[in-house]
Amino acid sequence: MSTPPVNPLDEVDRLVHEPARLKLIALLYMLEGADFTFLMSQTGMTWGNLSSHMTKLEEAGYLEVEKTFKGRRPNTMLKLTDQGRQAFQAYRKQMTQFFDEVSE
Amino acid sequence: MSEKINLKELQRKAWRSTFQDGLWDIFMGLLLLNIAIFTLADEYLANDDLQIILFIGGEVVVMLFLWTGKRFVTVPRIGKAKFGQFGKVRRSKVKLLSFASVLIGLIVFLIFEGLSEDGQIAGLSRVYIVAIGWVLNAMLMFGLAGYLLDFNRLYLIGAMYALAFPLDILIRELLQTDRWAFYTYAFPASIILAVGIIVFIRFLKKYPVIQEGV
Repeated sequence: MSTPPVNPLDEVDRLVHEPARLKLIALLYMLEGADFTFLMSQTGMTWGNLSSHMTKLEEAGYLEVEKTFKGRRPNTMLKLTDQGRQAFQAYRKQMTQFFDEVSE
Repeated sequence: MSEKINLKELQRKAWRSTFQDGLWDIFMGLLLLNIAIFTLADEYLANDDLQIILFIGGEVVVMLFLWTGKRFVTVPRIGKAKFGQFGKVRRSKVKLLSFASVLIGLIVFLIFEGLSEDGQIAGLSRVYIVAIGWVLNAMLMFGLAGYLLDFNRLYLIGAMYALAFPLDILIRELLQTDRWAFYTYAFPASIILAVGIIVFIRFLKKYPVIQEGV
């Protein structure tokens, strides 16, 4: 009995696959780091929305959060961890493979 | 998930957004306006030292404007990002360019000082040599900076800077007076300022102050 072919979409990382998080990860992938305000202004997300996605990514070990203070103002810098970068690279590979295999 | 994510374009868009607050435009317009004010000081103030102090004071005020504008108005609205090697390479090239521009300006100045009032090089009087040096320096410096930083408005700013000094010479020769010197620098400065102010206002509308927790 032959095993059914594995659909790349079945194995895709759903943490990365979610559109808002994908936008966030893709942006952070190309930057060394960014603060909360910059990510909000680039992605168009609200504070609450971004905070929620950040928490999920941080819990998964994909995101590193550095909290400092500039005077009295809190400043939160975010950057992808190596694990986060690898997860994004793997996701890109899977999606490229998927679209290469999909016929018109 | 058929939408292609062009990572390079994402990075460029993020980079370009850091120049879309209009402050750099206003800064460069004010620098040129400071030169215009210096021509007035040259006309109305007899004391050379006072003219220099006024000019340097103006430069300091303009730089303070840029710093405070970034610190208190625009960066709190758009945030900060670290661009890594992408940004470092561009900024290093622009620093090198600025250094080269200053060097060229110095060379042209030394040529000017080295020639007598009636002196010529290749049939060109010293004023025309300075004018050519000014135009080439401005166009090259701003053009290359605009290309390296992906900041397109620098091409317009470069053109306005390049226009100022030759316009001054032309008006002096046509009208046989230097009373219009202020306007020959203030006119291109005001164009740069107008564009900068428009960009700044659009920036303020597009990026309201972020309320944490909202």
